[in-house]
Amino acid sequence: MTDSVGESVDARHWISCMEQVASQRDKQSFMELFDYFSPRVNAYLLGMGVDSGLAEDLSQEALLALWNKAHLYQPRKAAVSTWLFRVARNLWIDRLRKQRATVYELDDEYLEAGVGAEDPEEDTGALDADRIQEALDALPRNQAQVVFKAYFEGKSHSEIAADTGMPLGSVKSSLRLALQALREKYGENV
Amino acid sequence: MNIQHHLQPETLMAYAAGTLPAAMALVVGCHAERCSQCRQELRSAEALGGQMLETVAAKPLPEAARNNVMALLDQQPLPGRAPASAVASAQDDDSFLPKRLKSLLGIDNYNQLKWRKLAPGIEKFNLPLDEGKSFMLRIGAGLAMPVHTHKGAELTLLLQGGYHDKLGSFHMGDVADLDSSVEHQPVAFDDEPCICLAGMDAGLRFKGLIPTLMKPLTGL
Repeated sequence: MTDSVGESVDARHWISCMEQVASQRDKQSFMELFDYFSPRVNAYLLGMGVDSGLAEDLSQEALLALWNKAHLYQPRKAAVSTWLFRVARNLWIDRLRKQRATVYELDDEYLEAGVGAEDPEEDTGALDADRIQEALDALPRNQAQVVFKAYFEGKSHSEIAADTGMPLGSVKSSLRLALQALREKYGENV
Repeated sequence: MNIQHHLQPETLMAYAAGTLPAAMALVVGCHAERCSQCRQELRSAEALGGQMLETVAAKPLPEAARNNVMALLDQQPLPGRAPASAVASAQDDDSFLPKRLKSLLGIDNYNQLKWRKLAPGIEKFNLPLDEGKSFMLRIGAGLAMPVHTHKGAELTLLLQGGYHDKLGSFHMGDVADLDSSVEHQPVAFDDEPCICLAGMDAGLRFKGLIPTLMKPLTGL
């Protein structure tokens, strides 16, 4: 994992920043998180077809949610980047895919209230980012492209098929293989 | 009872990416309430999204946005404890009422719904979602489901009782995640009525430009 100038940044660092925000309301730690993640959240939202003005607003909102809800973050459950991905996705749904909001809102409550915290089976852990990255890097290019379109362009499977000229079945199997590669990196527990 | 029939990984990934139409996302969310295996797979699918956030080409916000957020920090309310969810899913040996359905429909049991008779012993209830098709069926014991065709994908979650078809036996909590190539005619078990929730993507129209043109709060 590297930051924008290519320096290695450890997922643990972001966790400790979150802890500083949660326990001390530490602005310096928050601004570090802001400077690293807000350009990425913004890029995600632009990729999902959000116009630049709204993407800017929602990116700020996502990072403010991190400030306000840092005390609810559980490192055992997810990396900071995963937590923020969920927040950004849910903001996108809430503003642009309103009908889906009821489904995802309750999902949020579930995580935020710490329900399931005692259930170690659901721990994916925050420290395995490097392994996820290895799995992603190992994907053949067309598979990686399919995963990108699914997650960062908001495309349905049939839209991806139309975009790439791949049969729908190949789109689905590419996605499966990506998740499978991830699982193999994690071992049996994911 | 253990869940025997699960969601396909690519369906969970579409849920994680937020791209399933509401009708299908509802079925996925309801199944995941009861299925720890699919919940776990969903967490992996979200971790994949998180990792991609790390590697996406960054697009910095203007300096004014940074200043704006910094100025807002002191105005934020002090964090409190998360409110425990007021809605819990209800399940006993006989039926499963996911909290998402409770919340969406405002019901405590399935008898409170205004079921519409389709045929003798078969009733239907349309959910108030028009992104995709969302409905529930209540099928009398031993009766066959109405024959239906669907153009796209179909998700069916068993909420009470169960059915069997050529793909096997489906019990409460099980989900059938089928594409349009599958032809089947489920028959409810002999001992009790079967209630299921279906979600389909048919009727969806999403073409490239629409998302960028949509403004907040216009819904769909």
